[in-house]
Amino acid sequence: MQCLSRLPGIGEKTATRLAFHLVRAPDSEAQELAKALHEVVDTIRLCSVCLNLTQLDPCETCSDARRERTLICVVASPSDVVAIDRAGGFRGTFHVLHGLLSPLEGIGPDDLRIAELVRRLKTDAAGASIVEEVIVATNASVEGEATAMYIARVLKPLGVSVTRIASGIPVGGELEYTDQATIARALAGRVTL
Amino acid sequence: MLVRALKFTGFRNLAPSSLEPGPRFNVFAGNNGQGKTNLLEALYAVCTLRSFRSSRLRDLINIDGEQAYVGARVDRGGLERRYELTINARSRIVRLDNKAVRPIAKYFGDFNVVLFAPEDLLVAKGSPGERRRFLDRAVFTLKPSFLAVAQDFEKVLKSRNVVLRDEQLSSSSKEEMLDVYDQQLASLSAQILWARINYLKNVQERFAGAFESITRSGLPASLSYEATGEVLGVEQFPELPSQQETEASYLAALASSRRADLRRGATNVGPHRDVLRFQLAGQLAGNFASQGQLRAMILAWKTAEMDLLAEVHEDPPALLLDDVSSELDPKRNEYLFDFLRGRKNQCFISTTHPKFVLLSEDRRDFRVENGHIEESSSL
Ligand SMILES: Nc1ncnc2c1ncn2[C@@H]1O[C@H](COP(=O)(O)OP(=O)(O)OP(=O)(O)O)[C@@H](O)[C@H]1O
Ligand SMILES: [Mg+2]
Ligand SMILES: [Zn+2]
Repeated sequence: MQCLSRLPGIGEKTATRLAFHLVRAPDSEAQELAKALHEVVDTIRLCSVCLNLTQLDPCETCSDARRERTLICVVASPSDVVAIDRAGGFRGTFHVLHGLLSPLEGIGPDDLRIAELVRRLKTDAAGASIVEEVIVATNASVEGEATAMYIARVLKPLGVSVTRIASGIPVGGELEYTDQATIARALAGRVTL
Repeated sequence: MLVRALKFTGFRNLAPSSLEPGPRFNVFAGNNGQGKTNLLEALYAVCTLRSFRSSRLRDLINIDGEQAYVGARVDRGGLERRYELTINARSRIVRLDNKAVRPIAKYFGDFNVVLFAPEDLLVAKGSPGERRRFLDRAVFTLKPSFLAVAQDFEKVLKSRNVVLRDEQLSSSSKEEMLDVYDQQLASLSAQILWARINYLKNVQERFAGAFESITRSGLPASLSYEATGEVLGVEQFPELPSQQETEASYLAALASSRRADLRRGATNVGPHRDVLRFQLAGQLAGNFASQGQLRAMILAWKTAEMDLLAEVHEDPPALLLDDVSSELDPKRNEYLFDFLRGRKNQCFISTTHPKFVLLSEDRRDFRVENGHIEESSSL
């Protein structure tokens, strides 16, 4: 039960309910769950292009030929990728930072996947980038804004256009919990940094 | 605005209880350490979602318990609303009329209190930091959205200071990061300066008038505010340039102090270094005014703060007076109650002895003993 309640989004009450459910369910259900968990942990890794969680490398999004490679949407975490894709309307690719700048928590630029992003913009076949626009879709908290501003500064010399999703995402709000229409509007109304 | 009922459980040393205060003067009497301030704190907390003597809400939970709850039923112009705050060790739950409140700004505005605590009485002579906090609390009471700006400012300021002192960062990353935090800090600094100066502009005349009516001394009381880094050189609140211009001035000031800031490992420009001054006859009150005059200044400020709130919200706020009488001489004490009789505010007054409270009409008396509160049959 303690194991379960350590998972994000699962409080004590939910953990208890899950545990009771598993106790009462046929053995096979718990075993299936255990097997699935095992498999996930064993086979999941980071996509070598966008750093999203994936079982295939490159991930489905990065290998999808219909996706526009000229457009990269930068997000803080894998759950933001899910949220934006669910909102629909975004046809580019992603880049997952795995965090936000936060000196107070000891998170500096080297702790985020910014170097990988820079490399992605530089190294395309002939050394020139095909990426035209990078949209920074971090939330409107102090950390989200600082991260966006930092990325804009780092990418500027590379000649790529850096934009920011329009505000409308509640301050400090997580993309994960923002409704789809709001996300779609924020993406459409982006501004240049 | 009237608090019709107050209910609490698990709050500090207070026994679970509900209370139906009267519309005017509610006097809570008891010996030291019985729970009088705790009761005012409960009311302040359900109104502002903060405490006035602890930075962490969880300190309000009874030491033997896990959860504190305060609910208030508030009547504004005949319309009753229910405000509720539940505090757990790691979270708080806020409800308005039995519903979650999002965004939280919707919680504020109709239910207002002004606190008058003994610690405040010496603020005119206190450290610059105490005076800034005193001012910021007043700004927040009038304009709750100021809280988020002030909290963001604190966070960005601390972040910039961490970066200034960071020895691991490459110098190019460091400069990039400082550029980022300078930009954020400039914007937040401008917002804070604007909010403070606007507040002072609104409060200063009322303050001077109230001081005269309390002391009847003919000595003019005034306020001045000085911004650091010669961002504005604000003296006696001239017209502020636009917020954008102020932001640009801060950005320039931060840039020119960066070298010095790096050496000292701290940010030397910004509203966290500004100075609010109380003056009497043009002199610095801290050096010039007597104890009684200093106290009268704070009384005058609180009066002005209340009147401003009443005007903006078209409704008088509730007034919380924590054991103020014991700090005033008999004359000032008389003026204080004269003043209170002349207003319409609902008052919550704590005292070690009911006789300090020079009020006879519209009065309800409560006895506070070891966390238990009972209505007593007046004097
Ligand atoms: N979290 C808590 N849990 C239980 N008791 C607490 C808690 N916090 C404070 N107390 C106790 O509450 C008691 C009353 O405090 P309070 O400040 O309200 O007293 P008071 O009646 O205002 O006294 P005074 O006249 O000295 O100002 C104190 O004895 C204190 O130890
Ligand atoms: Mg007290
Ligand atoms: Zn990928």
